[in-house]
Amino acid sequence: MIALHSYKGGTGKTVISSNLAVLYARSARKVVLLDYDFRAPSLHVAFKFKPKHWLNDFIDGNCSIEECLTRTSSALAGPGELLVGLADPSAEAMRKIMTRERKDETISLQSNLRAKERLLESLHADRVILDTSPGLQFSSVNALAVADVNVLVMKMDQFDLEGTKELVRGVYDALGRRSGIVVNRLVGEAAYSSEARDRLRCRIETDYRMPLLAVLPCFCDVQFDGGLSLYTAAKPDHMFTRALTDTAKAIDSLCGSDTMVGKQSATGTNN
Amino acid sequence: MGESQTESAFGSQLLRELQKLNTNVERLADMADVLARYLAKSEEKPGSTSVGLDADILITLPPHLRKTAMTLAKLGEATALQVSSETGRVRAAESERLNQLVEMGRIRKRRVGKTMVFAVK
Repeated sequence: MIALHSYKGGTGKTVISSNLAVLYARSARKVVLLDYDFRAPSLHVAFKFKPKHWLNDFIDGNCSIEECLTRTSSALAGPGELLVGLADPSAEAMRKIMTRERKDETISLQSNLRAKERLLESLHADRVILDTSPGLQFSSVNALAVADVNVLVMKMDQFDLEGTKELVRGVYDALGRRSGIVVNRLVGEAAYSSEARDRLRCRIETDYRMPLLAVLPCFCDVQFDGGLSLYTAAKPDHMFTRALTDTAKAIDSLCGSDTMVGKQSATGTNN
Repeated sequence: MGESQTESAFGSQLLRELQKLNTNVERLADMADVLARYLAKSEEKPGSTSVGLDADILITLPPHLRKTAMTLAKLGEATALQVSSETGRVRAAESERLNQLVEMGRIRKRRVGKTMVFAVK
């Protein structure tokens, strides 16, 4: 189980998580993608369906995790399988999340732990990807605590750099999970020069004491698309897709498994 | 005014004063209740009884207790032996960790026959 998180919003977490999920599915994997950003749901924009049950119903204890999942089309998932769970984007649902009591969060943590077991061991998902809320929300920290691997997405602006340091010190270090950083929307020399990238790697790994998994250059067409297209399905030869393939391989390495992209399914550790 | 009328007026006034006094006593009793609840809450040990085990608490736990806590959160209710089967750690050590979590007010325990069963609050 992989949780994608960030200190601030707007780092491209949702674009990365949705495209990563499609990439794994198109490499003949069984993938579950869950929108854990209950305060600002976004995945419904990319996947464009209304589910029978929202993930909100699951965290409220009104249905099982399986009942929240919708199988996407084979046109999207290719030879694999992609199951998506969406968070309710209605204002009413978001207000309800705001007023949750602390004791509900204890129950949520337990539900998430059991859901992880069901998805990986009963449903036999090869990958479970959680797209979380930025910053410190209960749902995000639940996801970080429950996931096997945490991927911290950041941009190279001063607000993000400073805030991410605090996040790492206060939460990631405390949780002690396997974690790595993806720098997204990078502009300038480091986006394309391997020497500049090496200097960036050194800086990131010194400042944050976790590996730099990947650098994704800024692609204007991807950014201004606003998450409407899934590039890894629609544009497999796009540079973003290629960069994300390298990202997936780095994440697989952090998971401690052989890479799951570009190969048929093989027996190995589920994450 | 005749004597009986004076007495009657006095009686009415007395009754009104008593009713006012009764209302004020009721208000004071309500305020005393609120104050008592406030004092009770402020005398609680920090983080002791009201919050069980959530993600925020997990962050603050020492690492050796966090794994135990997460395992119990997954199981919901378990003995030390059941927790140790999940964690792969020695039963006696898990028992000690579980009891530490009870002391901290994060989980609760109850006796079932000869066995102690621990549960998330």
